[in-house]
Amino acid sequence: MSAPGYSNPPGWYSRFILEPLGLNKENDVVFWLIFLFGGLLLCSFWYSQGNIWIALSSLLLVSVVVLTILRADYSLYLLLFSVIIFEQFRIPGFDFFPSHVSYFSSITEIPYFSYLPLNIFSALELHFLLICFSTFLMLSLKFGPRWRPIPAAIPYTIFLTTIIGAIVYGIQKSGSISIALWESRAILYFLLLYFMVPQIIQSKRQIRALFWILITAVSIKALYLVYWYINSGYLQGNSHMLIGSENALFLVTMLVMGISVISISVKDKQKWVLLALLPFVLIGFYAVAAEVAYFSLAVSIAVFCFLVPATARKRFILLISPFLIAVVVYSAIFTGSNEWVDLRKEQAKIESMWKKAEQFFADVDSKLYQEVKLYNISDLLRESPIIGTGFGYKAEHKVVSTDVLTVREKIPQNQSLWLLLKAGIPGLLAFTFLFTTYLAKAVKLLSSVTDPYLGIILRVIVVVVVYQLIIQFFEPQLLYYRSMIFLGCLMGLYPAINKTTFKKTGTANKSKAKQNRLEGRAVNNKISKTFN
Amino acid sequence: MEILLATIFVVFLAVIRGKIGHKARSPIFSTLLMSLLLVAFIVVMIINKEPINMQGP
Repeated sequence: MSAPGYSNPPGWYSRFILEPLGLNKENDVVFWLIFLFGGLLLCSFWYSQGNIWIALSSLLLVSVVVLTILRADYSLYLLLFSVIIFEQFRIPGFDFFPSHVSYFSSITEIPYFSYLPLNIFSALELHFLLICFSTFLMLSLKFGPRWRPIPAAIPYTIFLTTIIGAIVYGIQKSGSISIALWESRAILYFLLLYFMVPQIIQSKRQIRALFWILITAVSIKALYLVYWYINSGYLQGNSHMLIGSENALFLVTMLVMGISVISISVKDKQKWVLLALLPFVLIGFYAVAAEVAYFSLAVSIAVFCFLVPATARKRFILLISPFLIAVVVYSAIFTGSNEWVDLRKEQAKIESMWKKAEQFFADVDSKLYQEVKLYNISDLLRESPIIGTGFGYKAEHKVVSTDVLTVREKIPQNQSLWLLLKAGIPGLLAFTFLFTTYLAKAVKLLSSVTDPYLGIILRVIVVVVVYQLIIQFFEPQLLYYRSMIFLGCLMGLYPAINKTTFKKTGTANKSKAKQNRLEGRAVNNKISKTFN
Repeated sequence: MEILLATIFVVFLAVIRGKIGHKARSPIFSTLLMSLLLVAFIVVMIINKEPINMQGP
């Protein structure tokens, strides 16, 4: 041990390595990172015989690993950004360059990583695993984030148990493991993020950062959608797969946030960015959303009316009225069974139409075929009304031959019924229980939130949850990874808002109590002086 | 359609429970009751589904 005022002479490590790089022992991690990445780049070049893309992809993989271990919250932002920007399904005609990134595919399907022995995992799942590992490591070392209870813990546990039970039951009934995992993957992602986000995002600063990421990613998508809409000759939804995709959910989030910052006065830089981007978001939403999205948005906006403070309600209603009138007029023109044949021509491309019985085998999106699916479900439910069929079990459909259709084509648009079929009454009950409890708790918390920004975020979360609950009657949202991950991320912010609110309220109460105490002392002194 | 309307009704009930319900008590029992009623309604509706009209409207 060196005496005070005397430091050891610098060793060879400091003299020959750190000092030439302008580093010292406090920041020598930079040297090790340079060493690691340099070594990795050289090895990748040698292994791939000079292929720069393999070398860069390996570097990217290691960068994500290092980032996740050092900062799980930054890694979560990266995950959210990737989920919004990349597409789960390849959409024909939609040549947005990030759509070609295989973030949701199995690792072995990505050419640059095909040599890795990880064929059961996707890049997304590896990212999840890393975030979980880093978070649990930090929690166990009590370094950084602290353990936070999740909202609606009892319904969450019941839902998780029913989903796992349904997977095990389906596989036991000679079901396929791969199909079971495929069917339940999005729900499992949601449950994982619902649990993990409270352990990572714990302050207002982190919530703001998360929303900056969300705004950036959705803006990029919205701007590209506007470009695509103009380029495609102003035709709404000329690609059937784009209509009703998860992109509408992200745009709705930003739309509601934009409406919120106008209605409720808040001083935040995000307000001006949102206002500037709102027209693009509106056009993007129009370009990708079908009528079901408008309907779900209308229900969500009606819920939002309940949540707006009484002082801002008038401004909100005035703001929203022109849009409501436009939606009503639009729907009256395009969806009514009237004589507006010419106007209906474009809409006919995206609408599900009634088909004749002999055609329904060919068109699995037709309305008649949806009826056939419902009939099959009711038939299967009569056979196993309480516990359902389980995930992964290939149930025989009465009306349609199983040889004709894939598993995906048998899934009904109405996801409540699909969940009822797969996880039985306990599964659907637990799902409804979790979401209604969450809604009630979030709205209850809203009355205590004093920070206007956090109030807006909480309102946006409530509206998005309602939107998702309604849209899942029309689109298989419980199978879409991106929408379920996004939902899990947003719902997981509740504990951070709760903690920040009550921390502030607690401080406010404390200072008020102190003030009262001081006032009390002053009064006592005055009384004693009077008597003396 | 009936199932959708019932769900919207339950969503509004949950929001109202959060807004004007008892602040000190957990909403868990009321939401459980709402969910039970909704699921019972959905099960009855789907099990009693009538055979489809293959020719369309």
